[in-house]
Amino acid sequence: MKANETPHPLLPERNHDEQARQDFVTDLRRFLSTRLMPGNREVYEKRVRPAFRRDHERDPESVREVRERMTRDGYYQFWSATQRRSQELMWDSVIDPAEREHDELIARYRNASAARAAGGSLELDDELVVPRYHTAVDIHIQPGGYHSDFAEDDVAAGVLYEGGLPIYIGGALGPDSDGIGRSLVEFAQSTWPDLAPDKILDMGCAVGNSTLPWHAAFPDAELHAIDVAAPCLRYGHARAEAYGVPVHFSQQNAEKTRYDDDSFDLVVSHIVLHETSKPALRNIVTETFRVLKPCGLMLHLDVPRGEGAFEQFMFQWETYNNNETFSAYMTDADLPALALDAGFEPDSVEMARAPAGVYDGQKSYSSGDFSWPVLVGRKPA
Amino acid sequence: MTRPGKEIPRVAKGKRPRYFSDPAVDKLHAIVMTLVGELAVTRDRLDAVERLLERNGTLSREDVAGFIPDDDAETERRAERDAYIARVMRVLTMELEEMRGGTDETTVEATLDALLEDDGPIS
Repeated sequence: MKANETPHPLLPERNHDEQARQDFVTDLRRFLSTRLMPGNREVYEKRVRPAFRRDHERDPESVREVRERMTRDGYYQFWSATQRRSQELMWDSVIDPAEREHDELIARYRNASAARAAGGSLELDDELVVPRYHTAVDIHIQPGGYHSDFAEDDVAAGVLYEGGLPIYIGGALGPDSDGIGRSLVEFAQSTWPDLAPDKILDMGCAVGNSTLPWHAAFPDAELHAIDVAAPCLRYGHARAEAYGVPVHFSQQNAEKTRYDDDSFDLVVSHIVLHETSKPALRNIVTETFRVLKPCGLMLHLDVPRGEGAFEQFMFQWETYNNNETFSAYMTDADLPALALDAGFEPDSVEMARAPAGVYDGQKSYSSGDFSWPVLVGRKPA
Repeated sequence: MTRPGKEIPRVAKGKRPRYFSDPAVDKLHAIVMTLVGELAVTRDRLDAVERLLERNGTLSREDVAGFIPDDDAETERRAERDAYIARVMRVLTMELEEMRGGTDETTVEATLDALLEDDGPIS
């Protein structure tokens, strides 16, 4: 695939300068993550930690103590400021072609939704109140966040989200941005080889990039995907249709859905929990329990939090600099406790690790060193 | 080349963090990083132009890469380069100029007072 080609028609093609701008941001972010970011640990060990020990006769013990010192260090300041700037430049570079093709992309959504060639569906809910964890700040500093409509039948939020993904993550999720879904599928199938769900629910699906791999794994299952964000759902619906995958998208809040009790064999989510709230965490886990059939399986995959104060501080960069405000709470959140409270089978509840596959240049998929924490639980029979 | 489409906002909701002790440095840094990007885009575009011209038979990229100006051209380029550097770095040389000319410490208020005085009949 050429640099400016798109994997499906819901993404805009980029002209020369637009592609060059996106390539610059991608390459800047690779420079930051491979050459500058690792230096923060050296700075901590060689400058910050010794200075703290001189003042306090002990090591920093809390994330807050590490943050107070690191944010005053010149090296960290420049890495952090440039990391933030790269995110802002990323959105600028993604918005340019999206804006140029805005009307055309909306038209493509309307056509795809009318045709429903793959057999999927979309149900929106004008009455749904978008929760505060989306409206308080724009998550990932994406202008308008996941949920804002800038036009009638808008898909822009989805265009921006998926347009930014390969730049944000340096292509690690693969050309179809489905790396996380594939990781969780692989974890599920290798841990439970007899898994054969009839009905699957993906909570907080955004544009459905992590949803589609579940169809490849279980082609006979009825696949449902919910999110509160209308433009992402419209985009995701048209996108799934373009991929030929039937998904039933609906605008629902995972804290309280319209599904009946005992509806699903499998309920999953992909990097959603850290973008919610403390009450939402509990509600999502209890709602998962409610909609699962007896013996149904819960798999909520989320981002790692790090071990020790320094690592946790680095993982909290997203909290303080990328509008993932709630994610700091996840550092100490006890997700298994929520699952036990909800009634999941105690022996089944655990925080497992799903190895992350990596896409190399040949688009092959193999395990890397990185792994995703997964909240696992089985509903009693 | 650009078509009108419905505008998409460029600013995200949420307070922008401060990275440096002086907010001016945050702004300068942001501007500089944008410039780094725009230069990269311009270099890519120049690369595109060269490749297209080469494909077209107008020039060869090797010729561009190996271009050494003759003495006249180099003299002109050096003069252009000197002027360019002086323009870009002017704020630093300005400080010396002010010192040598006697630092003008006159305040706005003093100048205004002078302009409010009666200068006498117009000659």
